[in-house]
Amino acid sequence: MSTGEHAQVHPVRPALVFLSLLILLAGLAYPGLATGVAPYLSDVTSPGSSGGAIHSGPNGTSYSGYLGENITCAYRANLSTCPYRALFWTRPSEADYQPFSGAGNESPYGPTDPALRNETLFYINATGPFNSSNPCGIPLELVSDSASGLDPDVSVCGALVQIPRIAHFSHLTERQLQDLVNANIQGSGVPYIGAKYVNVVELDMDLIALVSSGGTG
Amino acid sequence: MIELSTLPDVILTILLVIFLARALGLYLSKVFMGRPSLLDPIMVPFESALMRLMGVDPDHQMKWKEYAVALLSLNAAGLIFAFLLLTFQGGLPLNSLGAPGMSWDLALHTAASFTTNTDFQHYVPEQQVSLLSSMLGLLVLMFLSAATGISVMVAFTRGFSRRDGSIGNFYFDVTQAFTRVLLPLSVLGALLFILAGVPQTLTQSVTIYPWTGGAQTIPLGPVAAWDGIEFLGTNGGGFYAANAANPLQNPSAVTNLISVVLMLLIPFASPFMFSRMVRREQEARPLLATILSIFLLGLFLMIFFQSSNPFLASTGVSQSGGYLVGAEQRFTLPESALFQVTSIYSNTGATSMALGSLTPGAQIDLFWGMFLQCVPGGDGTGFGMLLINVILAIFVGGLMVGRTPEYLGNKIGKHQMKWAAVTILSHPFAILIPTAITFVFGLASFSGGTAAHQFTVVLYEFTSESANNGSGMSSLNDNTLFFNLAGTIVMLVGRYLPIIAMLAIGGSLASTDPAPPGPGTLKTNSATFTIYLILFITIVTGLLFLPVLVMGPFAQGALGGP
Amino acid sequence: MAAVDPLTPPHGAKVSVKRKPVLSWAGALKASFTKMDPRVQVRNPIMFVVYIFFFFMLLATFLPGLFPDLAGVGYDPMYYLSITIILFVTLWFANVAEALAEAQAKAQADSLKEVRSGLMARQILPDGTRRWVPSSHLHSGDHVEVRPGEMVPLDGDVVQGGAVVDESMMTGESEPVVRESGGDKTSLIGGARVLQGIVMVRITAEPGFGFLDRMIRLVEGTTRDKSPNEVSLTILLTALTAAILVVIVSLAYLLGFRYPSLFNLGTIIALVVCLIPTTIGGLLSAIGISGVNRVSKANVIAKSGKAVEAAGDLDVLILDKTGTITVGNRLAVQFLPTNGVDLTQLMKAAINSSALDDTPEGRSIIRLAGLKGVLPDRIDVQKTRVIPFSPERKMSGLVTPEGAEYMKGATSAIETYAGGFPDDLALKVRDVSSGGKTPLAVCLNKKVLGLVVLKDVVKPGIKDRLRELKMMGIRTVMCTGDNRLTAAAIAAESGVDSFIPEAKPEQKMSIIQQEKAQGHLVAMSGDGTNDAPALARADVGLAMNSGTSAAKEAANMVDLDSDPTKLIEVVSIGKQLLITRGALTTFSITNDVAKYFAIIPAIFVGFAGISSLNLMELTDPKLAVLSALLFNAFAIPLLIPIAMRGVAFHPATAVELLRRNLTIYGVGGLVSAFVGIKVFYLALSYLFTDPAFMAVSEMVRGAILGL
Repeated sequence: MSTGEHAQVHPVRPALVFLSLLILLAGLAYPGLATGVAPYLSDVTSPGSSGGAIHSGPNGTSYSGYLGENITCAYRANLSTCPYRALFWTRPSEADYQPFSGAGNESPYGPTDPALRNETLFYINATGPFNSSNPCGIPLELVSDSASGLDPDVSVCGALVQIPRIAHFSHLTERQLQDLVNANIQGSGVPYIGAKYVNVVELDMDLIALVSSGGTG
Repeated sequence: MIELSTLPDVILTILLVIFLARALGLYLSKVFMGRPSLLDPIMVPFESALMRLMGVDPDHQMKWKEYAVALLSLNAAGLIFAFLLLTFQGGLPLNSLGAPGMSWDLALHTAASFTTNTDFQHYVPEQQVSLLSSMLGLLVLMFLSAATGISVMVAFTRGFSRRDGSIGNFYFDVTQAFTRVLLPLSVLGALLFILAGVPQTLTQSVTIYPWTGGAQTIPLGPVAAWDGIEFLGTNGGGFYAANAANPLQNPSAVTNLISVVLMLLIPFASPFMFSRMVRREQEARPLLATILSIFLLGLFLMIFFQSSNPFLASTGVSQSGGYLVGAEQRFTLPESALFQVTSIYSNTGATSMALGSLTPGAQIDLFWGMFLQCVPGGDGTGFGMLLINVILAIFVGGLMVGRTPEYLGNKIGKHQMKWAAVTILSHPFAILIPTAITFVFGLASFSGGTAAHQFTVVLYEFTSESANNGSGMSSLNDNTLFFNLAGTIVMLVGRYLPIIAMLAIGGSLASTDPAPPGPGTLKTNSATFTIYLILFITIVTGLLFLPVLVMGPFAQGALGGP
Repeated sequence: MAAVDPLTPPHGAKVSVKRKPVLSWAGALKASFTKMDPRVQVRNPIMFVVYIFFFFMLLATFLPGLFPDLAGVGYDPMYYLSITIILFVTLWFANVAEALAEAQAKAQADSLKEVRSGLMARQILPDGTRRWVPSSHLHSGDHVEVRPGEMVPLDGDVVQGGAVVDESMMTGESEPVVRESGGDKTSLIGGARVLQGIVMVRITAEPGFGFLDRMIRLVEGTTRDKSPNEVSLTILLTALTAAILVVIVSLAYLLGFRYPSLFNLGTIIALVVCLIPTTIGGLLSAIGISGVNRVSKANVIAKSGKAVEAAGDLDVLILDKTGTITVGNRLAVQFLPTNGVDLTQLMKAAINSSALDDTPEGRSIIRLAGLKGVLPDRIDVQKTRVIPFSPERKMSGLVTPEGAEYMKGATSAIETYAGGFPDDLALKVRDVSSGGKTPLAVCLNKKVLGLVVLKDVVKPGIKDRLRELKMMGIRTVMCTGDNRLTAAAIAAESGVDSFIPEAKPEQKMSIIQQEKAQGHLVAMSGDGTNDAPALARADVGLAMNSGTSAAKEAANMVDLDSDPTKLIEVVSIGKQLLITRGALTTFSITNDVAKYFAIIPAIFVGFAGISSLNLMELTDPKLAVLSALLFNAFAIPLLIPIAMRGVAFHPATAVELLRRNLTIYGVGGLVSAFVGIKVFYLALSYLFTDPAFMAVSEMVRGAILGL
């Protein structure tokens, strides 16, 4: 066989050389290069996104456009003591929206776990008194864990269904709140791709601004 | 009931994949047959310098054993390097978040996991991996494992058309897979991700001061670059624990679709490459049809089963957007399902949904993709698995037409059967034995769940590891000595046994006399054979795995077990 | 050895026997039980699993105390006993299948042995004296004399004399054949009976190694090594069995620990036995044996099972024209008179020239003329001078007492003989030749009268067989000594794919080598000594029994009927053998689907959703398991006929065959299992509600529990 004439290559040297090459190119050059061009590229579409879409809010606060915050009273038995009772709520989160926590973000319950039903009922109870009239019904995402525990978004319905409660605890009219929600509807930015949703963190910042400006918008 | 407004973009994405895969398949065949191709002017001088440095003659054609030794040596080197890096990362630079060195068993599991293209993560990346380990260790292994898979497929393919017993030169193949395929396409992918808004920085974290109070540490890093190879290489290890569900890693429906395209690109290009390399272009059709029909059925079932969970009906909650527990709101149901089915069926294993929360039907669907491993399966090895299934199917089918079974001018004899049988056996062995051990010796602990769910979670763990998938269900406490060691063994067996079998079959095919197809040969490029192949794969796989599915996801579908 | 009368056999010596294979049912039955020996069972990995579980269940039924956990987990003596019995029956059925196939083979072998044992032969010693010796004492190179009524003791060649020989002992029913010294008809097979004439035979085989012995050994299976595809299939089935074992054993452990109330050892074992491919596993060796049997029934001796299987794979058949495609003789089809000669005149001359020509050509001329109303003149045989045909002369004829000289022969020879040839006739000669026919010139007193046109006649039915071969994807190559024109005409008429004109026997070798170099599997038939190397080189070489010993030695198959078209039959048998294996494997696998739907709901009783899997509505879980197990067992005997006879094979394209066999054995396997299990279930439900049966059952239960 012609193939057998060559002495077999001892596999250690090529392995080490190739691995070193990978470390240089794949481990250093590749992410390095990408990082180098990232600010310029991301400026084309959404400035700041390559750094985590960190935006500054009022009064020296800041937030990431990608991440939710733990704005919900769904865990509390008594709404009147909850500071967020007059705000739009994000989805429940096992991680309390701590981006660094990582682990245990998901719901530990299987799809047919009685505990899941109980938890769902608990959330519905907590959010329920004010939204029975809404034609949307209570959308599931509003009372259930997301996959990441960091999801800042709820569906349009998920925002609209909260309006009676917010109107009750604030002095804004339902109409004003509806306009606010409608102004905050987002999508992927590309037609026909992605869901229509509302970023609750941003929605609440607009809500707070509206309240502090005297509610006249 | 079902939210279907984005179904058109799901379908268009799949069509786009097929279109791109066809072109890529052509390109791959040129690259691996040593024909002139696009990147020659840049890469040739670089590659020949590399070959000299390695002390390798790229024209030297290896027999399968030599090929296997070279492959295993390189993989071992990568594994050991990453193991050391992870073990000692605590004292190494680029660790501003203070990730401690991993325990030896976790480091072993992680290194094995990324070397085997599994990317199962028994750790929280945000807290337990330094930027140095991510870049020099895990990122490197993601390229290495994908390049290894592609090399195996190429070598296997050569076996069908060669007659001198050789299946190519591993160093040539792995270099080409890296320089001509993975690196350029990952760069392209990373740039697209950056454009679409995925973070890309060498800063390891940023602190924000939300108006709800306090301060939050947001872990960051070269996420777009990571995504590029994570998906293109069908690796699937997340930069974040929540993987593609985390908005930082997969911020929009657009990045979601880019990820899908990258995951499917090489697996779908494989049949095209194969058919060109064996000089029978029509033969791509039955293989692609098999992959596509099972894949699309999986996608349809996923959307169907996730459209609502009857178990929650009594709560009065509205499921008009689908059953969205453990799903992200920025994606529609078809988009989430597309990502998840793509990721599991391609054995990438990235998650954009919480798998443990999925409805039982959807969970069975995902199990199914991992039991099959070949529709389309991971880069290279998934297609190799499909060829092994074809060999088995053609053996029984070939007998039924009254001839010694043959495929593409090769008689299928006992050598091929022996290795194909080993491969078929390895999957149930590697899944079921450790699952049984886990429960018989009570080695698992959970953060909750019913008995049936807990069984599902453990079954999923080993299925995912054996299939080199890497996705998991979160309620299992898997960073334990037992799961780290058992997982390492299962991943290594699930990866290298089939790889050795593919190389051995390739080598033995290359050593057999040609059996030129004549009019009496069973035409594999026919609708009859394609349907037969689909049924054969489905029935044989179903026979082996139905009982355990009954105990896990099926039992969940009932009343949470008896 | 005492001096004996060399002419008459010694008193009581066996010199001939009659042979008729008798299938021994008792023997098969007995063998089906002796095959329970573990040393036999271990050879079949699939059935060995059943074998182990049978003993396991036997112990569990009668000594449940050996399994401490058993008492609490659904131990039910009647249920366990039923499973044990069905497992035994399953094993026994598989044994019966194999025993029947072997008994069939053995019946053939025994009748052959009958021929061999104790046969006496008249040996001719070098000094010319004759003596009687047992045939087993003869060696290759010895000479024997065989007289009418006696059997040829061992294979050999006729070195002196000639005889009419009855080979029906070997071939069953064929006509007596002539064997004589010199030429290509010298070979005698051990066991043939001389009817007429006395021959001196040189023995060419050692005792125990003649054709007879080889045939015996083959059918007895001592040389039946597993053929390549059987080995591959065994690997596949063993892997499937191992995988199912792992699946079910791990399931058993998981059930035992997660849902102890659902765990039932009997059910688990039943599940394993149902799912492993016992149907094909139990029939596999029977299929192989009866494949070889079918070949020998076709009067072909295959030297190995491998050769039979290879026949199914053939791509190229090299066929001799003469004897295979054509009847072997040219026959007169037309008379063409030259200008100025009357047709009747020509016919008269032609039949006169052939009057004493006993060749088929000659007779066909007389027959053709007779059809047109022309009869030969009365010829006084005594006074007529015959000029016989010789290869040098290339013509023949006769001279009547009146001095008329009728001649016919090759046109060139006649031209020389007559000293000229009419021009118009020369044109006709060219026409006839270009049509692939052979012209014979006829002349009377050196005057050329015209031509008799002879034509090779294609065998009836050969066209259809060649078309079938084509459909199976087999290419046929015709070898002939004829010129290109003649060969082309025959090729076109018979439908053969290609032909090689003016071929010498030695050329076959190079043709075979060429085809093999391209990866084709080649078969040929032959009878002459110069065919031997090619026969040896071919993947399937079929020698004619009428041929020389060298040819028979070189070939891997010998056709006792000496019919070259037998190759086609051999191809069909080879294909049938493979199809039967594939079809029954498919049947086994699709059966499993239905069995799952019977047993899985039975195991997971109480899982609420599980009833949706209970498609057959088998409400009693134990009866459901027993029904599945019974169906599994009875599938074996029900398929024995198919295993022995082979799956019906109709030539068709591969895709059509796949579609048909998938439908029959794949879909059929699925449907029949659903129906079969339901039928068994209904029968069992009826039985288990019968008061008499219940009473007996209670007694048995009591008896077992009392142990």
